[in-house]
Amino acid sequence: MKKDRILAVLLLCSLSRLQGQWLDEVAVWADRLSKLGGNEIRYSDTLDISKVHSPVLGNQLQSITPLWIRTDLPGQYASVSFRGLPGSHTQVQFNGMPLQSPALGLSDLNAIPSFLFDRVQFTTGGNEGALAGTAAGGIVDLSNIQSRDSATFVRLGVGIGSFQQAELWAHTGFRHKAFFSEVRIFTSKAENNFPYTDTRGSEQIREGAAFEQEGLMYLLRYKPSTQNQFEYNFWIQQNDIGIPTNILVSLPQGQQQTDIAVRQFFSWKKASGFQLKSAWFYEASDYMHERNGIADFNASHTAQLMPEWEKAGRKMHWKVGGFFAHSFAWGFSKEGQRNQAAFFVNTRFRPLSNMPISLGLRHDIASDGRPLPSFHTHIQYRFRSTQRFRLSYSLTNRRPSLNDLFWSPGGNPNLNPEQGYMLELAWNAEWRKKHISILPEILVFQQEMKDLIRWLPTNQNFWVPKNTQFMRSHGMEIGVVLKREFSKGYWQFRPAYQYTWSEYIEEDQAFLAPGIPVHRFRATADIHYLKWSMSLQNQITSDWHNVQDAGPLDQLQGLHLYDLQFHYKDRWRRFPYQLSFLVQNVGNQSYAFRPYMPMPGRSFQFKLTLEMSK
Amino acid sequence: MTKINTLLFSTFFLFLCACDEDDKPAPVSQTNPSIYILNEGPFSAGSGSISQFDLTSKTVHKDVFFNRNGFPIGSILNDFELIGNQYYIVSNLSAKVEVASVFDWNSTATISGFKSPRALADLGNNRIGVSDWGTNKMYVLSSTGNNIIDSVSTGSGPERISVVNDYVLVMNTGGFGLDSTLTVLNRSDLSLNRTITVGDVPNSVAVTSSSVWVLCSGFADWMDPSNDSEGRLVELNLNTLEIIQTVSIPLSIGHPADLIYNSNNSSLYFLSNTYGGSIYTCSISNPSNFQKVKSGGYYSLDWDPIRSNIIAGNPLSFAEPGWVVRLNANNTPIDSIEVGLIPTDYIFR
Repeated sequence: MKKDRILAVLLLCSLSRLQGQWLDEVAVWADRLSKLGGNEIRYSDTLDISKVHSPVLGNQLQSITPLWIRTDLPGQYASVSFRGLPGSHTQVQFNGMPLQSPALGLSDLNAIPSFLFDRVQFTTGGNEGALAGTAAGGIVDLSNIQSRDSATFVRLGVGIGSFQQAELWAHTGFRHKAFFSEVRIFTSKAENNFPYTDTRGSEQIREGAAFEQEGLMYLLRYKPSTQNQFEYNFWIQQNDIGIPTNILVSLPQGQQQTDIAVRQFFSWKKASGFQLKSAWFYEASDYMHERNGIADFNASHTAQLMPEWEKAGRKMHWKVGGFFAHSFAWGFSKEGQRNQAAFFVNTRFRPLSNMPISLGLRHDIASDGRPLPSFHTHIQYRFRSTQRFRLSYSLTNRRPSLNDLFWSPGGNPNLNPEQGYMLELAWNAEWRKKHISILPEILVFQQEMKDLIRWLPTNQNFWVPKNTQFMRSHGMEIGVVLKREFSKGYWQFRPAYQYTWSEYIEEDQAFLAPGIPVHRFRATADIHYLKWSMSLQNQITSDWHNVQDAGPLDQLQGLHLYDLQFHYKDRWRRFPYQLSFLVQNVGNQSYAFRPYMPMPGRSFQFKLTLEMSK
Repeated sequence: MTKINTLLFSTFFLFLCACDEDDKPAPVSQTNPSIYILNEGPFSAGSGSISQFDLTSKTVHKDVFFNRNGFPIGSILNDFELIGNQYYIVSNLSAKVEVASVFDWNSTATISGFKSPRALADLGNNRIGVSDWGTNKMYVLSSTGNNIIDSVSTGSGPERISVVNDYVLVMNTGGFGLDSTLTVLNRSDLSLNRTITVGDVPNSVAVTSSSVWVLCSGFADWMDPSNDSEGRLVELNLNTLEIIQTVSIPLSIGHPADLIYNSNNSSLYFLSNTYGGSIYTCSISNPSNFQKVKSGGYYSLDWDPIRSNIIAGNPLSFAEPGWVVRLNANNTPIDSIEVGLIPTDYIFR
């Protein structure tokens, strides 16, 4: 009964693999260790990235996930937010380790190649103590599955698309006794030379917006016994990104940015419940502002160590651990560094058989700030075996990033850390009858935060970060999954509506947080028939303002975007292959996530993946 | 199932229908006494705008340039002037000067060829000077041809330009670095007359009957405030530009900006900080005695010479429409009204 959970996960993985070369969703996550924390991981929030079409994550995920992702152009920096909070409050992780740069304090989803990972998972419902204290909005966890460990294989892929998009990748795995190694190598680029209409009504072609990525991820896994597993990851990547000016600017030149990232991860998992994870990142950015001839270089590195120990009993479940990090950033006029240590304890128990409760405490100390405690609790109540109420409450905090403190010009060393709470109440149900499934969910949330950090301009045209007196938001999410299975496939319809009201309060005056539409509707309709599948995804939002209601010059029209995707999976001799074809922005709508930064109209992408294994 | 779908869609579209259409702008009179307000706009993510505060009807017409021309002026509007029958508007991030008719705001020219233009001034003889951070130059425009005809080197980060008798003073703020000088040009041929060291980050000038007062913001080291230098008020002789006196402005007030002169009470006014501060004043007879006139986070300050009023722009959160407040010559508030995003400069008619 007390068999370790790693074995359970491995068993589930191998069972899943029997279903085909590409795992179906969720099975791996059904018994995750980290679920102890009590955060809500919903069925629809776990995606198999092998079906995601774009070479970068942000572009593709914005229409089909609860994330609100804004990007100026395909491949450009993508800010990601949950629940009306800025992107710095969404934590991006790789296999449970925070991935964001200590300098920026956030992660750019478009700088993450989707090919390097197998799964992406979205977690909401308050801050879990083990997952660092910055994730007031939510967590995006990227990971790779282990189901291929028993095989030696080669996967090859090629993709082409509009605006001179091209991508090429290879993925190979090799097993020898207790060792398994895997290499993923990729290159992708796009000219992004799409047409648009300028402010005076003339047709123009976008210039200076090309991007190129190339990189490699190496994995070595060693399982000397069923009791131990060691894993090492090495990830190196370079991005070359053209950042054009907005179309109000008469000159086409903008900035050219080159990013280099080197990341290493090491983990040791024991069946007894002990787990040790460590990571080291180096990230550097080299900017060239072509218009002003200004060159800029900055870099950061961080080393992290996270030991955890977990004990699963019949009545209580415990997890204790620590998180230690050293971060250093240079290239600013003053070098910045931070040493950080956090200790956390989580427990889960059942006062009633149908009511699990989770509690978590975390205490965070740092070399450059006062100690910050955080807390979360999560209560579920099941009734009639098909319905469930859920209540989450968490106290969260976030320290200023090294950019906030030391960026030149404007870094502000006198910033206070942000502190706040998140309250979430949800009801969901699972009604299944014969071949029909209906899974509705209604969720409401409220959060407040003081000392939210925002960058404000000076009248010398550089910006200074300041603490905002207060921020509060509330909202509602309503969604349902409708699924009907038939003998040769199934269809599925997943509409979801989000209402988000987020406002900042400064000197007793409140204003709506800019950049976030109050109403958002997403829907996905899938049909799977034999080897074919087709998916229609849409995203509709109300109009919103880039700044708060500052007139038509800053108003952004609501999105009415539709994407259509066809997918075919078959075998050629004994080799499985996949073909997919994607039409983005089917309606050819003019839209932008920032004023005067038009996004492309209708575009096409074609992708072929071939796998050989023995 | 069909009923569930219908219900969900209906709920959603009801929410969408609740959004109001924007009101159409009212016709704008160009003859009523008015204050035109230049709104800087959001940084690199939208356009600045021009608001007209009609003093007869006490109403504001927003986006008068956009409403007339159907396209936005540009990004980050730093300065505008009425010269002859034309408005000249400096768009810093768009690297251009937009020209519009005084009669109806109809766009008549777009002048490009700059890198990072910041401020402009009428130099006389159909010449307009435009300072440029990107090249450390003052470009000379022809107001008849609306094109660049010449350029003059300055110090680093040139910003405001002031014409005083036969001199043209260019304030060298240092850009992202540090400069402490005024470049003095002979107005006739724009040759270099001299360079005057006044204090760190010269920001603005006010001219009285006998003096030129220069306000220096002082250096702000945002990484290490212990490196900050104090602001200064420097009095120059109106005719010779020799320094008469220098008065320090303590860091407890801030890094001051936007100097103006109230001739009614012979006092200087300025803002306590470059990213928004309170309004301070001092008499020119006792310039070290600083008094706070009005607390707040004002981003711009100007003097209305027609009505002898002070006007100050409050950007509030920098992410919503700002407000302007008018004070009479005795510092008593007259009125206030909502304008565009980040009000930064004014033309009085």
